[in-house]
Amino acid sequence: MLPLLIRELVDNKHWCTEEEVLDYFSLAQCTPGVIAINSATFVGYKRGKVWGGIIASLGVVTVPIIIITVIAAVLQNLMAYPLVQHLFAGVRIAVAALMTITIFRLVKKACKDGISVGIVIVSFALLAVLKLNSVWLVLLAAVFGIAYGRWFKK
Amino acid sequence: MIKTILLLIFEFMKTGLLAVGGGMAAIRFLQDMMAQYGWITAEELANIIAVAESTPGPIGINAATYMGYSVLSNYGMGWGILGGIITTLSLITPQIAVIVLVARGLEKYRSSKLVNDAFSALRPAAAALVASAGWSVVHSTLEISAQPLSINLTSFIIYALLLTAMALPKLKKLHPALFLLIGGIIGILFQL
Repeated sequence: MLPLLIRELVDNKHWCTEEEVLDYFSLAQCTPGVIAINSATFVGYKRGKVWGGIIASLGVVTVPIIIITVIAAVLQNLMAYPLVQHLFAGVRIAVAALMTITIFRLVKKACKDGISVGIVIVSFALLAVLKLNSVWLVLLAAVFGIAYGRWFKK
Repeated sequence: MIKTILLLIFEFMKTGLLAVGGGMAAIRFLQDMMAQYGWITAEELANIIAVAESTPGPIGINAATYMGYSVLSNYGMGWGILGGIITTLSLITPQIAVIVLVARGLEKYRSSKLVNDAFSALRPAAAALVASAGWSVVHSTLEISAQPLSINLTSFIIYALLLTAMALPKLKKLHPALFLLIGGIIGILFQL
């Protein structure tokens, strides 16, 4: 996504500099929610304040909403056919494999030091074994991070 | 139905506000909704993830639209379409609000010790969110059960082969949708 953003925003439209795009993109990952929406809101806000942010984000979601709605409506009718059911049974296995790869990549990236390894393991245990709600985990992690930074890090 | 719509709005706003780690982390929030309200089955959710991953556009947005459609289309297609729009807008509204606030005090946010401390723990926690979302999908797809210990052997072999193929250096760069297609073809050939 990043090369596409730079080409459009920097080279074609001259709306922001390359540094700004990179900066927004990294900030978009340090704010909650879908990264594409966060980046779009940053760029939109820079050009047109609050309305700019809203319009840029609506721009990002419009096409996916249309595409997904069409796919969902078509699939709903096709799911009655055994052929499509077999197809999706296979696709689901591929999804499981794909998610496994993503997990390895993400976890490897997240495990920077002892404390982050600990957080990954404890969080996973809370989520997968104790079935803790995601909301509680996010709040717990935020509080832990702040407390740790305040009292244990020099 | 009004109650379902209000719950969808509430749940998706919560997801938009708290799903650190992007769209993949949001999948775990969808699983929470599934467990709490029984709106969709694990199989349907895996189908939603499959479509969300193989369609252009952000995964989180795609999944939100699909989930909204699936839940409300029980009342008719018109409601389904509305459902997809409602969930997607609910997901992005709190995010836009957060970013506008952050953008106003950009330097303050960037250099805030509180924010940096929180995110140094939130990043690994987000990886765990994605990991547990993936584990649930693997668990339900391969029909793993602990007591008595069992697994769907056919599914597991296909899973292991696909996983190996995806990890190969030469094939790693291929578009994920291609692997989903291969999975689909295997599914048809073996009548899974």
